[in-house]
Amino acid sequence: MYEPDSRLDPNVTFLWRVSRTIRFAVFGIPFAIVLFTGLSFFFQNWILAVILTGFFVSYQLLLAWVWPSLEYRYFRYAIREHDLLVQQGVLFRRLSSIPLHRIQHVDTRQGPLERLVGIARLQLYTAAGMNADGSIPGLAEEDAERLRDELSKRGGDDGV
Amino acid sequence: MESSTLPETQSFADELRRHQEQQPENPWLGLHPASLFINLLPQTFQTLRGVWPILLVFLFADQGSGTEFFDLTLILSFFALATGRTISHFFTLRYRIQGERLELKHGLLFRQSRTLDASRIQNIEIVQNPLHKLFGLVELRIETAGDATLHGLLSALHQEEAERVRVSLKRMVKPTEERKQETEPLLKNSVLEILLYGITGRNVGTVVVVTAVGSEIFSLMNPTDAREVASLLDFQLLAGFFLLAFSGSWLWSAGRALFRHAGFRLELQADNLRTTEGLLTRRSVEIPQNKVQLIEVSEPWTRRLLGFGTIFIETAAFGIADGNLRRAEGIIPMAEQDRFSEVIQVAAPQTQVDPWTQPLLPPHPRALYRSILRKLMRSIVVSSFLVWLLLPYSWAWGALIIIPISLPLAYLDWKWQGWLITDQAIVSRRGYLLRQTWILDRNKIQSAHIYQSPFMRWHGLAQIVIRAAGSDVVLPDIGIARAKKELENFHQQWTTQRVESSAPITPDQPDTREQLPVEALGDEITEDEITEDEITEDEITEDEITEDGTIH
Repeated sequence: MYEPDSRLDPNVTFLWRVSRTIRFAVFGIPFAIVLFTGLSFFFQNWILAVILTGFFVSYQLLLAWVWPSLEYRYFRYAIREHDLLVQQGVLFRRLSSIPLHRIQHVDTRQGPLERLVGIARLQLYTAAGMNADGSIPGLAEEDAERLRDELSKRGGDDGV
Repeated sequence: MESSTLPETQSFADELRRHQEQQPENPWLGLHPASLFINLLPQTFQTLRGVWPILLVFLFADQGSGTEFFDLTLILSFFALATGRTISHFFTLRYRIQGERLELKHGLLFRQSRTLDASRIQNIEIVQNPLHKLFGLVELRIETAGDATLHGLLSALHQEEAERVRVSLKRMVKPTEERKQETEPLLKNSVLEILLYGITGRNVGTVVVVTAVGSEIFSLMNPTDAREVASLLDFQLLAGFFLLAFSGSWLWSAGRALFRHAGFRLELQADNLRTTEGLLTRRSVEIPQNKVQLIEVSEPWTRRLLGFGTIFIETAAFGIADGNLRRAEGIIPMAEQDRFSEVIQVAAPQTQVDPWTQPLLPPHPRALYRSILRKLMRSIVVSSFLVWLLLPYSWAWGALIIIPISLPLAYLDWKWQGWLITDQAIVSRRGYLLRQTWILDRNKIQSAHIYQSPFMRWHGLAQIVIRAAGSDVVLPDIGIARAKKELENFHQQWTTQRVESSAPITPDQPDTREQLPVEALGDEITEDEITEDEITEDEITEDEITEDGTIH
C-alpha cells in the first residue's frame, strides 16, 4: 500500500507554537482567571478550583508547546497520478483521498504570522460542502504555489 | 463546467450551442399580476423573519406610557415594508430562457441577476397553495448544486407557462422528443398510510420539549407554590402527563404529515422521477434520474413493524439554502418493504445494487466494542440526567435501568450493520431502533476518507467516510487493512473515470485508455478472509512513521 512521503515545512512547528502561545496569552489566561473565580465560587473551595484550573492551563500549554512537533511528525501528503493523499492526526488519525479531477479550485491562505515565517496553507475545494474538503496547513510559500498550480491543472469535473 | 459528454458528440453540442446563441434575444417575461395578492402573506413572513429579534425587543421591553402608539407605528411600518417588497418584486422580476440558460433578474434598490445553466439543474418543483389555485397559478422552484437555487422568486406563473419553462429546461439537457404520457403512478400513499407515517415519526423530541417547557414554568413559580404542586404530582399523575404529551405529539405529527404528504404519488416520466403531494398546498417535484446521487431508506422500528420504510432521494442540491436546511428533494413517506428494491431500481438504476436481496458485508467483529461503548456512554448520560431530574421521587433511581437495556441494543445495532462497495455503488446500513440504509452512486464521490479514533486504533478498526456533493455516507467500522485496500480501489476507479470524463488530456499526461481492472470487492472476500487480515495489520502506518529518525 502506497505511503505518502511528502512532509510539511519544518518551520510550521515554530509557527504553531508561537501562534498558540499568543492565543493562550490573549484568550486562555483571561478565561483561566474567569474559570478559577467561577469554580471557587461554585465549589466554595479554592484548592479544588486551583487544581481544575491547573488542569486547564496545563492542557492548553501542552497543546501549544508539545503538540506541534507531534502534528508535524504525523502529517504526510502525496500527489499521486489521480488523487491527493493526505494523512494527518496524532490521536485521531485520518487518511484522505481526493481525486484530482474532482477539485474545483485551490486556495492558498496566509495569516500575518504565517507570512512572517514564509508558510502558506493550501485549501482544496470539491463539490462536497462549502468548506475546504482537504487542506495542507504548512507548506513553504513556493511549494504551496507550485502545488496549487499543479492541482488546478487537473481539476474541474465534479460529475454533478 | 460542461456535463460529461462522449468525444463523438462534442462537436454536436458545440454546434447546438452556436446555433442557439445566434438566435434572437428572447423577451423578458414577468410574473402574473395576481402575485401582488398571493405574495403578500409570504412576503410578510419573510420580513418578519428578518426582523423578529428587533420586534421582540420593542414589543416586550418594559416601557412607559405612550408606547402603544410607537408599537402601532412599528407594526404598520412592517406591513408597509412587506407590501412594498411584494409590489417591487412583481414589478422588477424578469426572467427568460436564453441559449442554454435560465436568466433572472429582480430587486429594486439592489439589482440581482442570476443565471442558471440547464445542465446544472438538480430538480424542478412546482408548488400550488390554495391562493395560487384561485387564480390558476403556480410557483416554480428550481434547485441546483451550489447557490443558484430559486425559491420564492418565480412565485406566480400561469400553470401552462410554468410547464413550458420546465419542459424547455429539461429539453436542453436531453434533446429528445418528449411525448407527454399519462403514466400509471409507481407508488401511492393512502390517507391511512400518511397518518401512520406521522404517528411513527420521532416523537421523543416533542416530549422533551414539553418537559423542558414544563420545568421552566416550574422554576418561574414561587417556591411555595412549586412545592405544593410537586407534592401533588405522584407517579400516576406524571405517567398520565407523559401519556398526554405523547398522544398530543402524535396527533400533531399525524396532522402535519397529512398536511404535507396527502395524496402522495410517485411517477416515472421520461427519465424523470416526479413526486406529487400536499393537502392545501400541492407540491410537485421533478428529479432527473441521472441527478439522483444518494438514496436513504429509513426504517424506524415502529414503521418497520408495520412493514414500511421512508425513502429519501437526494441530489447534489441538498444542503443549506436561504437559511433553511433542505433535507432531501424527494421523500417517499411510506414505501412497502417488498417494494424497496423496485423503487431503488427506478430511482437510481445506475447503482445496480439491491441491499435487500444482496447480502452486505458485516462490520469487523471488534466493532461491537465500539458500539457498546457508544451506547453505554449515551445511556449513562441520559439516565443520570433523568435521575437528577426526578430525584425528589423515590423511584427515580429506576431510570438507571436504561443502562443495562442499552447493551442488547448495542449488540443488535452492530449485528445489523452492513456495507458493500461495488463498481457502481456504495452501500451502508446501520441501526436497529432506527435502521438506515444508504446507497450512493459511485460516480458522485467527491472524496474518500478513513478515520480512526484512539479507541479504534487500539482495536485495529477504521471508518470509511465517503463525501459526495451534499451529504456523506459513513460505513460501519471495518479493519484498517481492509479500509486502506478499499481506498486504493477508489484510486484505481478514478483512473478509469478520468478517462471517460470530458477533461482534456494534456500532452504531458499519458493517454491511459485501457480499462484498468476494478474488482467488484463484494463478491470475492469471505468472512474468514476478513478476520485473517485484521489480526496482522492494525494501525495506520504507526510503524512506518516511527522508523523516521529526527523530529524537528
